[in-house]
This record gives sequence, C-alpha cells and structure tokens, in this order.
Amino acid sequence: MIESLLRATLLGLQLGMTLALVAAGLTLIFGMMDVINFAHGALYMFGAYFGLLVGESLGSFWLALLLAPLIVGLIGAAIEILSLRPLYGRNPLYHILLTFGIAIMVQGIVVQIWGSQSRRIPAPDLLTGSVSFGPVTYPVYWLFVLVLSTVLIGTIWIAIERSDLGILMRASAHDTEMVDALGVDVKKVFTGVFVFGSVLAAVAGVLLGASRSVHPGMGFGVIIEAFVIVVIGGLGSFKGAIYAALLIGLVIAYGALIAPALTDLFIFTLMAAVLIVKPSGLFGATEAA
Amino acid sequence: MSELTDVGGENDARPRSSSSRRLTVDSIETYYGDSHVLFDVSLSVGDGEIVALVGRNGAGKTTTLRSIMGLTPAKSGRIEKDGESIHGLDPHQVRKRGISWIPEERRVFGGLTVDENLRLAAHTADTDQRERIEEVYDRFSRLDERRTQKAGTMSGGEQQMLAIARALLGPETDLLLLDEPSEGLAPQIVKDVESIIRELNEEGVTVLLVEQNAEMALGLADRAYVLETGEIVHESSADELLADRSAMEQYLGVQ
Repeated sequence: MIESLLRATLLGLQLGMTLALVAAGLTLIFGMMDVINFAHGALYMFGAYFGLLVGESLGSFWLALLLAPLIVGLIGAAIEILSLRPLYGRNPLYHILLTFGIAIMVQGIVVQIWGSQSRRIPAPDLLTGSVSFGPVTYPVYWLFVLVLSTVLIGTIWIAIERSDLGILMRASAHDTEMVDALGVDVKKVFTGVFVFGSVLAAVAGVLLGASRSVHPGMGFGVIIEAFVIVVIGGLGSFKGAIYAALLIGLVIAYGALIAPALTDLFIFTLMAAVLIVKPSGLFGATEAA
Repeated sequence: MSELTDVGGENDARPRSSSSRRLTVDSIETYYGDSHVLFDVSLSVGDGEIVALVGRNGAGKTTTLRSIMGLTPAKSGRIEKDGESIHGLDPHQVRKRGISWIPEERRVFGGLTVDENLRLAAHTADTDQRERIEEVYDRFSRLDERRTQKAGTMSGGEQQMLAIARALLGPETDLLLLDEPSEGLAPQIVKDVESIIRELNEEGVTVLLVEQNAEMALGLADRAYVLETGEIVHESSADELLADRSAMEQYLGVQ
C-alpha cells in the first residue's frame, strides 16, 4: 500500500512538472498578450509528432528532444506573426476563434500525415530499466522526465524573478502600452513569449510522447488539463500555474490508484472548489508572477 | 506658427526659429475609433522651453500627448522632433528619439519594486545605465529609501517621483511629455513636483506639460496653449494668459 502510494506520488510529481511546462506557456501568453491560446495543445502535439519523426528517422531520442522543440518554435513564430498579430487590440473572442481553428487544423494535418493510430516515441537505451528506492521501483525514464522538467521550470522561475527579461515579462503583463512607451518593442516581446511557450509545450510533448502515447487526440486532451491548471493557479500567474500543475499531477496519480475512471471528476471538482473559495484562482489575477 | 490667435501686440515668448524647435505638431487630426477628438491641432515647443497645454476636462490634452507619442496615432498632419518626422512611428521608436512620456495616473508597474521599475526603463538604452540609476537615486532620495518596495504600495507623490525617474532612464531624454503630474497630490507634494520640473528644465530638458491645474502649469511655463473640444483656441505667453482674467475664466473656469 505504502509502496504504491510512494510510487503514485513520484508519478504525480513527474506528470505535474511536465504539465507545468505546458501550463507555464499558456499562462504567460495569457498574462502578457491577453490571448487565450487554444492552439497550445496542438503545439504540444506537434512536439510529440515531430519528436516521433526525428526519433524514428534519425534513431535518436536526444535529437528528437532537441530538434522537435526548435521546429515547433518556428511554427509558433509563424502563428504569432502571421495570424495573432493582426488581431491584437480587438475583442479577445477573435483570438479564441482563431486559435481554436488552428488547433482543429493541426489535428487534421496530424491525422493526414501520421494516421490516427496510437504511437510512442522510443525512449533511449540509456533511460530504460528501473531504479529502486527501498521498496519502490520506478522507471528510470520517468525519473529523467521528473528531473529535467523540474530543472527547466526552476530555471524559468528564477529567470522571471531575477533577470531583466523577467522584469520585462512581468511589466508587460501589467501594462503593455507603458512598456512600449518606455522604448521596448512589444511586438518582439510578444513573438518571443509565444515562441518560448511553444518550445516548452513541445518539450513536454516529446517527454510525454515517450511515456504516454502519441495520438491525434492528445492536443485537446492536454489543453483541458492545462486550462484547469491555469484557472486553479490564477490566470496569468506563473507561480500559480506551477503549484496547480503539481496539484493536478498528484490528483491524477492518486486518482488512478483509487478510481481510475473518476480522475476527470476529481480534477474538475478540485477546480470548482478552488473557484468557489477563491474565484481568481490560488494566485489571483493581479499577481503577474 | 508663431502667430498668436487672439492676443496681439508684443510677445517676448515667441517660439524661436524652426531650427531650434524641439517639437512641431502641425495640423493633426486624431480619432478614437469613429469619434473625432483633435481638430487641426498645431503647436510647437522650442528647445529649452516649458510649454503648458491647458484646457478643461475632455478637451483633448491627453490625446495630443498620445498622438505625439504614437500611442493614438494622428490620422493626418505632421509631427516633427528636431526637424525630423516622427509621425507614424511606434511608441518605442518615438522614445528612442528622446521623447519621454509620463502618463496620467503615473502608471508605474505596481507589482514591481522601485528598483525593478528603474531597471526596466534603463534596460532599453544601448549604453550601460548603472551609473545613471545611481544618479537618479541621488536625485530622488525618497526612492533610494524604497528600492525594494513594491511601487504599488507607495504614496501618489512617491509614485510620481518614480514615474519621472523612470522617464529619465533609458535612451537620452530631451523632451518630456508630462500628463497631469499634480493630479491627486497634496499641495506640498505638488510644489516638490514643480521644483523637479524646473530643475530638469534648467538642466536642458524641454517640457510639454498638460495640466488641469492651470495655475500651477502657467506658473511653470514660458508659453501656453489652450485646448477646447479638440481645437487650439488660444496661444500666448504663460504670464499673459495668467494675467488675462477673462480668458482664464472663459477657457479654464478659473475665477
């Protein structure tokens, strides 16, 4: 019993940290650009499929982990510059419709190219097998995912708190026009943030593509989880997204232990409870970091 | 441009020749969506001058500054800084031409500390600004004491100091656009703000000052324009306007 609980905890943290990679981009894009990006799940899925493509054709998981996010970053840049940019300053509904449309198009493209069956990115030999912590055995690959995601999230967190770029991000989330008037080319900042979010989503796609499965429905699956996380954490709050992602990861992992069929119910109950107690989410809408 | 619209005779505060003009705004028309806000607005600010733009609420004073800054671009007309057109530039490009905007309600970044607010402004310059940040702290000792305080938790006067300090960092500033710097401040603090504006001006910064508090603005300024429902209706030296009781009452409601 304790073994499976410990195992679920590790799994929950790992899943939470990977979801945090997706949710971080979503919340930063919303916080700074006021864009509700329904295409974020599609970028995550593109990450997984390009990871699959690179992994299978070049035979290297590591190249997949490096190249897929770069490709998706370029796609993100194209989406931001060509489709989002002309709509800034208009009703946010335009962005919802646009990104939702992009998500549907990406799903269609994926089915056309790769078909609709479920696949998996081959994990590298280096990361096969499992390790034991006392009574708990845990796959090495999952441990790798946990460590890598944690390092990435930790680095980003410190950068947002300390660096000039982080200050710029928090200031833009607060008052974009003022930042522009201070001499910052906000258009470039927006593109940068969108690309950054796309890259993070793609990294998560590759990482989970080798442990969960790669299939055309994964984009919409993850976007729902990510939105729940962002709403629980507080729209636009980076810190909130990380805490909420860990919370959701753990709920999914423990839920799978108790009643696998009911995990979605648990997640949405949690979201409803948070919203009833604190409608602006754990870290409110005014707290930009 | 130097012709007075309704004050004839001698005028010792006539703007200097166009070569020493910091800013020229020529017949701009500005809209918010479909609503026409500025009608054929022309004004000029000479190098080293303090020019006040006064008028009642909703006259278009803020919009004039926003048009110069490129935040609400003018549909037509000409805007020049030091003889070069800045019409059509984005706000960040206008800032790089040496124009700093201190908006109504100051708009400091409330969730950032004082130091972060200044670092953000400094970071847009091409040169290393660490020394200039320290200079700013020397000038504004209130800010020096509050480096790590969140800007949003400071008083209005302190936020105004921060907004001015922020405008002085980053690309070199030689023209300040100040929007309602006295708004919501206690009289003593307004005095402080006035003396800072005067000090900066003596150091060579040209100022275009928008104020609801006309007497304060005219006390500081060399020349003044009165804006009424989007049109310039009066132009004279600040002293003349201040002395002209009927104009003061007619345009500004000052008894």
